[in-house]
Amino acid sequence: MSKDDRADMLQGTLDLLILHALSLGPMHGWGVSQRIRGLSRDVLQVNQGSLYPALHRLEYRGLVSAEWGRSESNRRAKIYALTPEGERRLGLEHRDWLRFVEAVQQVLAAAVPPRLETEGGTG
Amino acid sequence: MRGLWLRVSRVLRRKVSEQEIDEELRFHVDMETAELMRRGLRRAEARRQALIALGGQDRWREEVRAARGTAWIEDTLRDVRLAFRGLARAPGFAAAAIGTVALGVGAATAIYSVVDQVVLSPLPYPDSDELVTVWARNPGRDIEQGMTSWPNFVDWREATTTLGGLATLVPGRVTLTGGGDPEELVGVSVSRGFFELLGAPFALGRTFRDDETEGDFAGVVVLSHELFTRRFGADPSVLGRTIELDDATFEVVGVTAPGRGYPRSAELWTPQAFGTGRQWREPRGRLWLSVVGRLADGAELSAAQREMDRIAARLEARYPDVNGGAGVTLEPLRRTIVGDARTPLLVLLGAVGVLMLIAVANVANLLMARGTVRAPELAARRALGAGRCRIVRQALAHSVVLGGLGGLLGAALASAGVVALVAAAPSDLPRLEEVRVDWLILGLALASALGASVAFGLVPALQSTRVDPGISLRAAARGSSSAGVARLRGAFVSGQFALAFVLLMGSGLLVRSFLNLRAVDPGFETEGVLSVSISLPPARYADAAARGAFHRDLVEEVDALPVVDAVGTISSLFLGELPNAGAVTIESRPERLESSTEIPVVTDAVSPGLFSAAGLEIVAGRGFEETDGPDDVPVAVVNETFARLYLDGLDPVGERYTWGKPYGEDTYWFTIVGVVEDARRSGLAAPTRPAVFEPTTQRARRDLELLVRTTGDPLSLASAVRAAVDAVDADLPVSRVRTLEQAMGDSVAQRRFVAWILGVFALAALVLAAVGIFGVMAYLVGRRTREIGVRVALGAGRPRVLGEVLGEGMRQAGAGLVAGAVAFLAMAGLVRSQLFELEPTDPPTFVAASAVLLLVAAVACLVPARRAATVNAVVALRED
Repeated sequence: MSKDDRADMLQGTLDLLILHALSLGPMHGWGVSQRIRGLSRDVLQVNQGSLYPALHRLEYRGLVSAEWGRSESNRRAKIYALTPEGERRLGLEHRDWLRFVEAVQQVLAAAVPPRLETEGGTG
Repeated sequence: MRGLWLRVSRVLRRKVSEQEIDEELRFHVDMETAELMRRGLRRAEARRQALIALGGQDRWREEVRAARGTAWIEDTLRDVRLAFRGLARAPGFAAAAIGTVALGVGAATAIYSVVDQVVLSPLPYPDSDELVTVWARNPGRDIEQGMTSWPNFVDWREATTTLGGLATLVPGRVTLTGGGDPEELVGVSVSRGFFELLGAPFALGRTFRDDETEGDFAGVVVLSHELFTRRFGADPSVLGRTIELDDATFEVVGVTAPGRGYPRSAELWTPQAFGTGRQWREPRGRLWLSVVGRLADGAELSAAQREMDRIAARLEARYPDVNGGAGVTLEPLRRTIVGDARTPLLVLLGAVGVLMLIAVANVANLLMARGTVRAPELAARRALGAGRCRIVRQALAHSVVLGGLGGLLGAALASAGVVALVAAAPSDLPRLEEVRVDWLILGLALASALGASVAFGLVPALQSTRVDPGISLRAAARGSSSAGVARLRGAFVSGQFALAFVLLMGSGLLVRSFLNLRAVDPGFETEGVLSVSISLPPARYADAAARGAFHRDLVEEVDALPVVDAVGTISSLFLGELPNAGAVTIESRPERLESSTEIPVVTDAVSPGLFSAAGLEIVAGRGFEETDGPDDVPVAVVNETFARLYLDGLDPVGERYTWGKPYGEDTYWFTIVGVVEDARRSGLAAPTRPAVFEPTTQRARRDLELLVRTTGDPLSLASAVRAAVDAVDADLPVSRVRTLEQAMGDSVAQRRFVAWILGVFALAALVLAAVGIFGVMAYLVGRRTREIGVRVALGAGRPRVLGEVLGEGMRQAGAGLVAGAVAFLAMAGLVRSQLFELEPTDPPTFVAASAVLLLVAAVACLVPARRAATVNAVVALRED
């Protein structure tokens, strides 16, 4: 159960990352994964098994459009781009994310519970 | 709505999408490979890592599809396609499973349709549960279901409040002449409100008006739809036309709606008429009317019975001389119609249930065997990333396709089966003409087959999803299966054999009892005798002298034919439900009439040559002679049963009897001149009734059966006999031309029908059980190929291997046999009533049924056993 919950959260995050990556310009699937890796300075490795399902899901929901075009190496590739709806959603999700991060920050900035500290100290 | 359309249109373009997904995948892998090579990996290693990073491709595709929201439609289509492909890959399994479902569903539905519509369904009238037959009862005279007189009927009708309506009916034979061959029909004269009471629907015209019924005579007639179609070409202008019935003129005023009416054999109805005389209308003791009634709104049968008891008691008190001991019995009309057929049909119903159980067990067994075979495949697909849900869904699709195909075939089989059953049925099985495939029952049978197919198809799929793919892959490859499943499947096979044994026992007993029945000495010598029914129209044959002359002329005419050995007439050859019977008083024992234990005596008129034509021996005295003239002393011949019951200790010849009570000087005494051997005229299974025969030379009747004994083929005489009848009277209808053997056969037709159906059932059950054990043995041997190979390699003899495999199968069959025998003994009471001179525990039947089953089991085991014994050790070992 808890595993599924985490997957949901990560999926939401993955959608946000994809939308953001595409807001920088239309790109094919592999390019999206490279863009996310590059922007995170190799910290975020997108699980490629879930990248394409996510792209197709976003396409199905109309947040992303897809068209067959040419890659930089002039190969036929499926190019994804942000739709206006996707742009709006990106704004919303970005704001939500910031709020989420801020909340987590505040929790973590609070005083560390003493019991945990002592236990940590003796350990 | 729009969303759904979008999905559907995507599914329709699916081919393109699948390609696109694959192309996108290839592009990704190529790019990733190129990137990894840039980081210094070699091409092969880079590609490998790129593929690993992508994960299971099955799962990847699936998730893409799931993400696109078209998954469920595509999946369903693909599952169905896969299921068909899977069945095509295992044709033996598919044929067995589909055939099992088809046989089970088809046979069960066909039989159930017949049973349901003949026994259980209501009559074709509105609120038919309210309809009752009103029987006159007189236990003192051994009458349980008798007729009543007109005065009694009128009193009932006036007094009752619980019966909303009452009407009389008198079935009889009438001759239709003019416009084509004369034809003998079943005509029913009915009293006021008969059709209204039944609620019988009309196709054309009207029912009888009140002023037409219950008078002296009204020349109006209502035709059955069947007669209207057959004789009048369904021409509506027949309304208003006149037809000749028994030489009187009738105007057609109405035609009933299609489908049989009541009584079911009726072909036309005329108003109840009494003629100008008083002899039918006035005597309270003249019992000749059948009565049907409808319960008043809200009235219970029991309340109506109590009321009729009170009314009958009042009438008995008021007319003690004629109504002494007379009561009334109400019986639901449906039971009157279906009557005897109920028990045999319920036995059939039980057989249907057993057959369906066998079919379900078989499907379960086959699917579970198949599931084990497919376990490695399922494990492999799991390992490749197929989701648990997908595997279960695919198993589901497999089962549904299997059950669906079998069900479809079963439905076709059912409708063909109903036609075959109706064709094979004896014509006197009631309401048979109405039988159709019962869609509700077909649905139920289909549901149970599908249910079993789905339930047992899912078991292996669910099992595969619980186990770690790695472990189950290794185990499956080695061909082991859990002991629990094997035990379960052994139990199924044993159960099937138990059920098959029950069916086989039941049908064996019925067939044997049918043979016993055929072996009964009917008294007649049936061989080489032609039997023809003739009915004389009352108008032209009103007086006994005219009838007597006809009998004499007819016999002379037929006797002149070259190959005829003997010829005679009898007023009725076989006795129906209510034979012409009454009580007699023996002159030398007048006290005997008072005892209520006497059985009514059947009376018939026979011509002098009848006894030799029928092959009945005169055991004392003499038969009739032409010299027994109308003005001579009234004579009679009695049968042995009569002599035993009424004349025990006396010399029958010379004794005298009279009908009812003697009344002084005017008593009409019959002198007994001979005793004739008994004949089974009420059917072979029924006891012989006391009978007296009176000569046609003295008291000829209107109905007669002409018996012609010949040295050749009786049926080849038919047209010559017909010509002889025409020579005497050209306007007479001749009906039921058949050999005496056929006539005897008709009286055992119902038993033959039941025996035949159960035989078909037993065969179907046997086939299904054989398929079951064959499938399981073949599977078990297949699993053990390796082990057997090792043992053969180590020197185990082939006969020994053969014996072991055979033994394993026979053990299961034997266990089933024992269980079946126990079950059958528990149900023996159910079949006892259907047996003739046979006990349900009849040892020869037991032995034969067991032998047949064991033989089938042996054959079913032998094929896989032989295969096991010829296993090549090297091949078997290499199979892993």
